[in-house]
Formats: sequence, C-alpha cells, structure tokens
Amino acid sequence: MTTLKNLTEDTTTTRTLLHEAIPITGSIVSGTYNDENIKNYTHGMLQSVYDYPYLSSSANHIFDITTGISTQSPLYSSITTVDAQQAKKKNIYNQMAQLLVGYDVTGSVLQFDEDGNIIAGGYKIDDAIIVPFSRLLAKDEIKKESFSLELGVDSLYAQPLNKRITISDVSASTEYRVNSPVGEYGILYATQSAAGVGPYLNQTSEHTASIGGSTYWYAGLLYYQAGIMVLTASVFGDQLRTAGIGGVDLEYLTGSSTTETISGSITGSTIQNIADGFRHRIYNLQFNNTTELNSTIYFCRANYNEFNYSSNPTYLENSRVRVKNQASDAPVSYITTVGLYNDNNQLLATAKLSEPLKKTPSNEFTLRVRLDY
Amino acid sequence: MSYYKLKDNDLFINTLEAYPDVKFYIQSVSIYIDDEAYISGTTSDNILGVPRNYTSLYEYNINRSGSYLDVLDDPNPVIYPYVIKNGSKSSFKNITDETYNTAYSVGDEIPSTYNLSASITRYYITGSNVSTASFGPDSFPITGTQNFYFRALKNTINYYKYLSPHYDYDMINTGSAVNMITIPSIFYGSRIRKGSVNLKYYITGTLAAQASDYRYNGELVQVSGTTTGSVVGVVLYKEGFVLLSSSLPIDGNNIEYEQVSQSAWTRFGYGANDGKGLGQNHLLTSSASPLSASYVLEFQGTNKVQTMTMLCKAPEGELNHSNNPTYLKNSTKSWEANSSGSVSYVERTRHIKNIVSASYNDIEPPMQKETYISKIALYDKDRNVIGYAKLATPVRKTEAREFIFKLKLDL
Repeated sequence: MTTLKNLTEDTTTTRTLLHEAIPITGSIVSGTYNDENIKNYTHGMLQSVYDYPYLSSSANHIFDITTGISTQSPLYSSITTVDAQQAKKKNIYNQMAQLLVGYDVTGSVLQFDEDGNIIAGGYKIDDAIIVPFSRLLAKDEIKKESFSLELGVDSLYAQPLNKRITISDVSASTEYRVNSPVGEYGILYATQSAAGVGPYLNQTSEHTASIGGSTYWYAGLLYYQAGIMVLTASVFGDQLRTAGIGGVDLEYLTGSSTTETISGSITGSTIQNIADGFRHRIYNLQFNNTTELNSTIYFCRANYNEFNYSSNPTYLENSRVRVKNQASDAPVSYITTVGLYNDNNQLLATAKLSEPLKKTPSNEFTLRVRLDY
Repeated sequence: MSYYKLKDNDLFINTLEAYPDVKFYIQSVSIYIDDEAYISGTTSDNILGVPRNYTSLYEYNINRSGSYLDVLDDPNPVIYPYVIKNGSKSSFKNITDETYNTAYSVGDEIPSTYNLSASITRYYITGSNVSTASFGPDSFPITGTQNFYFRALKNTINYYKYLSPHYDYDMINTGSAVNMITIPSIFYGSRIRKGSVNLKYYITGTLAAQASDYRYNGELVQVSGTTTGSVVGVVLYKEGFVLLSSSLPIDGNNIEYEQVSQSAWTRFGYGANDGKGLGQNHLLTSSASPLSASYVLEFQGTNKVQTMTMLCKAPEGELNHSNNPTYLKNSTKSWEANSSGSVSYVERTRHIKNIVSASYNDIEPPMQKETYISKIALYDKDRNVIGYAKLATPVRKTEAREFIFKLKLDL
C-alpha cells in the first residue's frame, strides 16, 4: 500500500571526494604516435596534446603547452625576430598573470612569484612554460601534494632523459597559497631524480627552500582549481640546473644543423618549437584529481506496523488478501520501490531495491536512499 | 547595462525528443556496434580498453593498459578512480561491506576501474529447461540460470497484452526454445522507439529473412523470407528486450548453431555474447555447413532533453547606452580635467563618441546613440550572474532598431 510519510529529521547531506590517478607517460606525449597526437594552430600561440592521434574520435585532449615572457625579463628585449613571437609571448604571460596572480594597487599586472609571497617581493618568474591541463583530467581540482613531473635535463638533445630532475608540489597539502584570484595554488619544487648520478641541480643557486631538512629548488607554481602549471624556464637553465651537465649548455632544441639553449629558444624560437622541446624532455607526469560529489541521504523508516499491505492488484485474489487464509494471519508485503514526493504529493523520484524486501509486522527496516548531484 | 525581467511569454521549457539510430551487426561471434571497427592499440587489444563486442562507457583510457595494481609497470598505465576510506563510509558499488571493513584501513585508497562496458547479450532458453520442472503454485522452469532471467519477465510480458495478444508469457514459453536478446539502456535511453526495430537474418551474406515491428504494437512481424506475415516475437520497448519464439525454418540448409539445425528466429544473434563459439562440441554432419549466418539488429532509441528557451528583447529606444569606457570620447585634456576645491568636486563633461557611419570625411554625421550588443547575461533574483550568452558577432543597436534574442539552454 502506498503510504506517504513525512521526512522530518530523517535527511542528511554528505560530501564525498572522488579522486582519480592520472599517469601520463612521456613517450605518449612525444614519440609513440609520431606527433600525430599533437595539434598545432596557425595562430601559433599554443600547442595541444592528446592521448591518441587527434584525428580519431576516441582521442581525449589532455593538456596544452604555451610560453610566456614578462616585459621585466632580461631576455625580453633580446627578442628581435618576427618568428620569436615577442608580442604573443608577452600577451600570453600577461593574460595568464592577470588571471592567475591579479593586479597590484595601481592596476598593473603582477608577475608570477617563485615562492608565492607577493608582498615580500623576491624572485619573479620572468620566462614561463605554461601548461593548462584539460578539465577532463583536472576535474574540480588537482589534488594537493600529488603532482609529480620528471624532466630530462641532460645536455644532449638526442638523449635528454639520461639525467633527470623531479618537480613536485611537496608539502602542498599544508603549505598551499590562497592569494590568487582563481583559488589555491602550490609551489613546485625541483629535486634530484633517482636516475643517473648527480648533482643536476645548482648547489649554489639562490632559488632554494628548505623543507623537512632537505633542499628544494623553486621550479614553478601549480594552480589547483584552475588546473594550470606555470613552470619557470630556469628548470632548463643554469639558475636551477647545474651548469654544463655533460660539458656543454643544455641543447633545448635542435634543428637540422643547429642546437639552441633554453635562453636561445625563448629569444629566437616560436612557441611551437619551445613546446616541442618541452615535450621532448618529459619523462613522466602524474597527478591525482578530485571531484566533489554532494549527496542527500533520506532515511526511510518502515516501522513494524507500516507498509505490511499492498495496493497492487495482485495482492488480492477473489476480493481477498492473497497472503491471508484467515483473519488472524499476519499480512505480508514485498517492498520494491521507495518514492520521494514533494510538498504537493507529486512524485519526484523513485529508488528501486535490487531485490524485494519481505515486510511483515514482525520486522522493521530503515532504507537509506542516497541522491547524488 | 540594463536589467529586464523575463515575463511569462518570454520563457518556455520544452522537451526535445531525439531518436538516435543504433545498429548491431553480429557475425562469427563478433558484434560490431554502429558499424565501428575495432582499433588495436600499441598497448591494448582494443584502444577503448574494453573487450571486443562491447562499447566503452567512459572512453577514458585510450590505448592504455594494465590495472591500477600495476600502474607503475606499464608503458601507458590506466587512469583509475579511488576514494579514501574515512568516516563517510563512501565506497564503490563493487566493494562489499565485508571487503570495505576488512581489507582497508582508514586513510587507505579504495580503487576501482574505469573500463566499464556494455553490449547486447543473447540468451538461448531451451525447451527442456523451460518445461521440465515446477516450482510453487505455477509451473516454472528452475533449471538453467538463464531461465530465471526469462521467468522474471513474466509479469512484464503479460502487462503489455493490451498492445497485442502476442505479449503472452505462456504463448512465448511454448516448451520449445526462446531466444532472448537483452539491450542495455545505454543504447536506447528511455525507451526503444516503436516501429523502429528491424531484424535482418543473413545466410552466407544473402538476406534470408527480415522482421520488423512496423505495426507499432511490439509484434515482430516477418516482412521477407519464407514465413512472411507471421509474428516471430515481441519487443519490450521500455525494458530493452527482444523475445523471439518462432522456430519455423527460414532456410533449408543446416547450419552449426547450438545444435546442427535449420536457421530459425530462435537462432537469431547466435554468438552475441552468449558464450557460444564458432565450433561447437559436436561434429558437423555431412549436410551441415559451418556457421555462415550473420545478423543485424537495428532500432532507434529515445532521448529526451529538456530545453529552456528565453526570449530576450532589446526594445526600440533602449539599450542604446553603454557603460563601457570606450563608449565615451577619450579626451583627457588639461582644461577638461575634473576640478576639486575645498567645497566642491566637479567632474568634467564627457562626450559620447559618435560612431555613426558617414559618407564624407570632413562632415560629422548627426549624433545618434548606438551600441554594439556582444553578450547577454542571465541573473538570478539576487542579481548574481548565472549564465552568459555570447553572440557570434556583435549586433549594432540603434535607437530605431529592436531585437529579440532567442537563448536556448539544455537542462
């Protein structure tokens, strides 16, 4: 029998955090698909990376790569050729900075700060490699202290992954920053990777912090809700990286006959070329994301003397209750569905049981109905 | 920027009903969904990460392999979801209470997998299983797991008797075989569209028989072949079942199905995830040929999408002023600067920029207030922006023009 009961104190709301582990192997973004999963655009302002050749309908966009340069950068005035896209690099930096960092009291766009402490000043990130992750992967936010990027820093372009550093948001679960217009962000630090022998990081660098007694090198910023990584180009330069690994400057890019350092790339190459070089040096990238699931739980209680009859036509046989042979027999019903009604007794939703529950006057149930949204 | 309230005739909520085509082609125990071929990946047999014959529900792990257990060892490991065990007792459906309580400690990751899939499944319910046993007041088959699935549909089948007398459990369950094909709702949405079901039975590539529900009442009527005109089965539109009970031969040749026999509608879909292989455990008779039948099951699903339509009016003589700084002339000359003294603050006069097009360079046309409408914002009752509609190109709004912008929102 359909009976309506008021839910008074029988509802509660919960929030569940669902995570995903996202591994991105370096060979996927550079190598396996012969760059058929890399989309370049005629505007030349960014490069899109897919997890499969992008002409396939199955391919998913995973992240973009672009480059920005601040007008405060010493390299800025060295960009003289049209191919080096000075204006576009500057506009990208400013666009990203005003979105992610904001403005000062005079209305000027603030620069990316390497330790996130804008008021204290300190070093700024002048030349940045910016990686916005797809919303498909970042979901509501990147999980703090789950990010890890292993980069090859060997000088030789042909075998860049022989010497590697790891960039991670170590200690970010407690040490994240909140002074961004787009939410929380963490500091990315570089450390020596297990591969090869070191040290590959500049031991006399001024861009270091001590965490838990260990030295870490400032490498960039990770915006968790926005899903954007801002990496300082210095991870490929001598400010962070030990000068002259392998005996020569880092060959960030290589053409048919020439090689370029990271500084030379920023001042002389296109954004697309810089993105190619960055992909070429990704050994492994992984992070976890978070999705918030909000739920309302309705506790639907069937007391011993309730819901023992049914208005289902099959409940009757020859105008008698089918399950009772004599008047003293206990009624029986099978609960299959719980309906949720609004104030006007209009049915809003139904919850189905995987199998019917036998309900008699000798038992009671509390059915937990969860509505996710 | 001005606010306008949407009135009754400015806002509609409609339901858009779409009928997507779905096609299953079954051949040699393989299923091709919507004629899509399988793509082998470098790290997985099927780039979608699900078994062949199935569609991937997430299409998330493209050409990835392995499970969450060996995620570090694979060349292109999978993405997997997990929750962290805590006081909220949230978990995945496939984690039993016992596993949840015993296998994980608080703070542990409880992993799951994204490689969920769906496909049609054929159940061949034989006569011996159907009729040899009894249970309870009615005669029910109890042997064979598949029979329980069919038995569970008894009330549902009989309920639709108002559509056709062929919706009769006892008529379908005649004691011989019943061919039941289940279709997951991911393929058809809220219901299979009436009149769209089409079954084609090919033998060695030639169409031997075809059945359709062209009467729109759920009856599957043979429309070509030897027994044209006869009802060979029924469709449960909302539940996603095709029930075929006709064992009349549609072709004279023997083919190796479950048993070597002539083709009939009860054999339709042989090999569709029914556990049958190309070669059965019996020897071919001299008069039988290896499996050479193929099948097409096609229909239209029903997807209902609620859409909200809003008519946003830009009346004559309104919306011709903008608060955009570029709307005003940008002349900040010293004699036009704001002046302030000990008792007053006087803002300088700012002039609206005249952007009226003129045919001559040296004569300024008469001033008209014009704006370019580039976007429309939707606000809630507390004037919080809850949505934007952007125009492909800005629309020139003069005082003499009026526009109605039609905004559509899928709910």
